[in-house]
Amino acid sequence: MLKYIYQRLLLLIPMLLGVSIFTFGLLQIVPGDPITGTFGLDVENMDDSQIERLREQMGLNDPIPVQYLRYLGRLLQGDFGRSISTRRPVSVDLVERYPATLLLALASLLIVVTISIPLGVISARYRNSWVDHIAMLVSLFGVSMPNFWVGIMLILIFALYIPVFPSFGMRSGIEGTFMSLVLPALTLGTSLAGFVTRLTRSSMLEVLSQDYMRTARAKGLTERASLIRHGLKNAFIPVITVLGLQFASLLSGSVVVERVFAWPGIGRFAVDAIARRDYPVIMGTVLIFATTFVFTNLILDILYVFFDPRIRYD
Amino acid sequence: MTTQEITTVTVNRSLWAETIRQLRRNVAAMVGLSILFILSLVAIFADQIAPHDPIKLDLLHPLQPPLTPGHILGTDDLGRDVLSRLIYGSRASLMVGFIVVGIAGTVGVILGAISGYFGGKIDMIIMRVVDVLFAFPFLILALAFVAILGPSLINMMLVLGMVSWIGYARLVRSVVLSLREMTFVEAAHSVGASDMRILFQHILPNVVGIVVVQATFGVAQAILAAAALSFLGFGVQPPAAEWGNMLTKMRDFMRAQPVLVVAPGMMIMITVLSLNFVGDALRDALDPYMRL
Repeated sequence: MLKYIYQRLLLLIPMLLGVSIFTFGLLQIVPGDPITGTFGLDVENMDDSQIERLREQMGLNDPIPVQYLRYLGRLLQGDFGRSISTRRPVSVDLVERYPATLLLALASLLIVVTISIPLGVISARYRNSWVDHIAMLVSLFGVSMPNFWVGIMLILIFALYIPVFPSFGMRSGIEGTFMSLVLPALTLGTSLAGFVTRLTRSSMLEVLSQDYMRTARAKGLTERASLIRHGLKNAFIPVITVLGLQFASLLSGSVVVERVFAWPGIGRFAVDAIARRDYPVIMGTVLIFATTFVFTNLILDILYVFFDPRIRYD
Repeated sequence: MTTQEITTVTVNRSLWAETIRQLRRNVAAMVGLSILFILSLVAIFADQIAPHDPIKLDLLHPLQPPLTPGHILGTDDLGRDVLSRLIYGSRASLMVGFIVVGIAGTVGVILGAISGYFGGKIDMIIMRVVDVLFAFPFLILALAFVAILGPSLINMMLVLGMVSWIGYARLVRSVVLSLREMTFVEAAHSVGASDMRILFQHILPNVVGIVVVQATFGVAQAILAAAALSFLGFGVQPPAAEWGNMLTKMRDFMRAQPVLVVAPGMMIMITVLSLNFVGDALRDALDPYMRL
């Protein structure tokens, strides 16, 4: 097991190299360079020698492979470069903002798991009952609403009409953080919750028709024990796979949701950087997103063993 | 050869006849199809239906409430007629949905089929590209590409097509991989059919069903993604009306005129919901074994 984790961690290196080369290459074909991005119209008031000096200072005149290697070298020392527009070290901003995004994504995941999985199991168990029909209709609505609009509606209802939760930013203190987290986390989780409910139901339906479920009941297990210990544990595997893959969609969604709620995470940071063509910031955020995704999949692969002892990684 | 063609045609017809029969028995699917039909009509005849010019400003009458004479849904912060903007907005959304799926589906099916059928080096290269693209959050990737090309409706469609073909490629590859081993492919080989002929005449027709299902959900996803991009300011640019960009300035007027933030999202939801109804029914009809 340890050996497997070690191998997976080694695989992380080429993966992240591939990702960083890809983004770096992407940014090379961007029309307009960071100088116009930073100074905007002021560039027209600078003379050529000034611009040239800035380019030299920022290392924009070196060959592209040199620029990439230099970036990579610094990256390995934890230096993500400085933001071209604010001059702050990117790593500082990332470290400051990353926990907020992770907190948001994990809170959404928690909501998804606590709502969708029981709902999916109940729907499957009472197939074609009114509970099932309502759950399926609601979850279809869930996947059909744009998440930023869900956020706007939640703000309208729970911040404006019935002012229970704050509508933007992140308050300090544990209680403040919790209260500010509720609406964004619900918003981010809605679509995934709908998807996972449907998946849990179909996966559970398949498991319920298996022989071992009949055996479990026949040997006198209670309905509850057979459903949870024999049913859910087996139905869980495809659900976990999807949760892992969909974690990326939560990160994607955080870009929009953080904008709606002015959440101080890296999603909003990334969008602003893209608008300003702030290369080091774009690279940094994308690398963080991709790394999170890769690590999530590692954790899930390990969870598989827990849920299905038949899987072994020797 | 003639016999063979005739057989193919009849088989296809019965599959689709059966599909249509099943769709017609599915209430949700019929509701969805009717809504989509009406929305398409609205998009096509927007010029005739819309009561006002969607981008004409009327700064003297901003934020009029719904049911104001002349403006059934009121006006926005710049005095533009909300109903007219919603009507014109259907054009952008539907167009994006179908064109993106057209691009992504074509590229994905061709690359996936080649990858699965020929295997070897080509397969490895295509699949490594797919893997790397999958490591990026979809929206971030789309944003980065839009930032390169510059925000506009056309660029948004190109970008969403470019980042969403990978799903079709993986799907088609996996199906082709199993079809490749079937007896009918071996039979085609033995009578001397060329690879291209086997791939396009014998294998791909069997992929159509799954791709159609995926494409229906794909249109829904493309519409949601396009709305998100426009909302963030990287898609359809104002003053042009699009359901997503109508919500960009939501904080400014949601207190004054909630209908301005409720209506555009409602339109997106209705459209996507209809597509999901149809997609669900198509999946049940075309591919009873596929989960979810």
